[in-house]
Amino acid sequence: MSGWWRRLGGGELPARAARLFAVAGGAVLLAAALLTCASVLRRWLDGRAIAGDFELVSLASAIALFGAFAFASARGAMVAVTSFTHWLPDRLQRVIDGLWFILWAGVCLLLAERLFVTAAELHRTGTVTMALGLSTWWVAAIGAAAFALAGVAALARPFAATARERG
Amino acid sequence: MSALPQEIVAALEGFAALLVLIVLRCPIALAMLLVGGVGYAQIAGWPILLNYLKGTPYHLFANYTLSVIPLFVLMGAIAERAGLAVDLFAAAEHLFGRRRGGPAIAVIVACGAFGAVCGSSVATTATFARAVLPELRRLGYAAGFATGLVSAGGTLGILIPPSVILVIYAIITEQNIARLFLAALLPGLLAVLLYAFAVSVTVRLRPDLAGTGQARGERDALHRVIPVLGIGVVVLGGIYGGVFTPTEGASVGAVAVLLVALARPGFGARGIAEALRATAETSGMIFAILLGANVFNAFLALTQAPDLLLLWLEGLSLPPTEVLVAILVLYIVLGAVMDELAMILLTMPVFFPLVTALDFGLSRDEVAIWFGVLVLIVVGMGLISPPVGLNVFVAGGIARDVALPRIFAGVLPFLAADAVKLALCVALPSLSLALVRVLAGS
Repeated sequence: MSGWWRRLGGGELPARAARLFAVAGGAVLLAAALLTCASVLRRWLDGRAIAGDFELVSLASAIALFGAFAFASARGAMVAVTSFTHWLPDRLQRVIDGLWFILWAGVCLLLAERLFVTAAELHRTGTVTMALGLSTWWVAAIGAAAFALAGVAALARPFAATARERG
Repeated sequence: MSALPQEIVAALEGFAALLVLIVLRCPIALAMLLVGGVGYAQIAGWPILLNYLKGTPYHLFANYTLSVIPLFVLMGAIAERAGLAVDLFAAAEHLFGRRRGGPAIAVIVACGAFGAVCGSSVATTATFARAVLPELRRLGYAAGFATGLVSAGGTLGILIPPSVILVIYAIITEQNIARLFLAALLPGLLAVLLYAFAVSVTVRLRPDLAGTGQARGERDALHRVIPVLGIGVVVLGGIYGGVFTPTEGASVGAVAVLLVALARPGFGARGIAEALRATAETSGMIFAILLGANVFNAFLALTQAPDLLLLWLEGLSLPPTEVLVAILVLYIVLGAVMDELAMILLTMPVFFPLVTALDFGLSRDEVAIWFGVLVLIVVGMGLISPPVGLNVFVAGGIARDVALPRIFAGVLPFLAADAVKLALCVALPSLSLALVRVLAGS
């Protein structure tokens, strides 16, 4: 393994990026929650909510969920039923899980490409939100990046595990 | 014998392929994406599938209605890390701890109160396993019973509203979240009572399971839990009363729990970062399954199998209660071996129209709400049933010195209580619908 690759974290790099993405997305979600509280308070006090609050919450939660998706993928936090195969040798179980991770990565990369096409279309057509007129293509672009990261992180998991085992 | 319609065959093949993949350790979200995607493409063609996949992830993730899910998860994640469970247990122990089995009843009561600010069963289990197991062991409780108690108490995280699983049920069946929360309230409180009764009976029959140590309980803790209980009342009251939408309620709850957490020692930037990471992991997992279910259900809709199945079953004129009981039994069996969220998402396109078309002497909306509560109860049972009760694994992961079979044995009195609760809720729909009707009447 070359020095620069090791310094960047090697196979752990996508997982670290996904963790950063998740925390940043979570902070955006928290900000959306605060905005909603302010909107509820304002509606309670003078009968008028903050204009377009629901649009901002939708966009914020999309960013948070895209980050969450990448993080869950990088952590391998995918629900699977293992009770029927736990009698198999550990090595075979790892091989099977590895195959599913490769397939999962392929599906994530395909969906990343699809989201990229969506972002390009939203950009080309100038699609904006109804109340605030915010452009939406960049949210889909963040989604494309998140799905790509989810795919790369899933592919990198075995390398990260190998690097950890080698110490 | 006439051959099955081609659409039904395609749907059955899809379900069979899905089951094979799930048995072979395939992540459930991936299994649904693969089978749903291939099935969709076989019926509609690959270009149409690719076009469908272009919009699905974006519209699923950037959806105001669905944003309630990560917000409720965030609220629970902050509550989990803020140490609120310790105070709730100390307060409940002060009230109930003196009698035999009292500390165990205090765990149940505290789990119920925690359920009002946390919509996740796993989070409630993990929180209480860390917070109360050492104390129960100090008091001399049998390890299996104590860990089983916490696993069962964890299900109150979803049985007492707000409940993430109920929110998902409401969204996929297009029901009103507030009315479902209201409907779940009495069965949730009944669950607390029945679990407490299960503790009393168990320690009477097996006194050796309960310790003889002196319960600590703090009078001061009663004051400290007031803000937590206040948040639960404000969030649920606000949603029930129509003061705010569920998404707004979840936002208010998350911010309020954060403020309470920040006022406590030891919860700073690190606590927030941990809560955000936990929220991301849980929400990412949920939305991966939602995405898979979306694609699989689009394939099912293309086959028109759910509609055909419904027509066929309607023609058989089956007795409604027996159909309902059969579905609930199937859920209990499925819930024992697979993930409850995936189970609901996979089966609801078939079972929901079927159940709501049956004549129980209730309106269609009432049946939809009642069925949601029943589904919630069987999901709770699945979370503590062998062989793959998730709560038991979570509690066992924290109490590593306790073997899983001992925990499953400890859970048995609570599974019996769940069976009684389910029977009561099936026999008496009013238990779920009374409060909804009162609110609708007002």
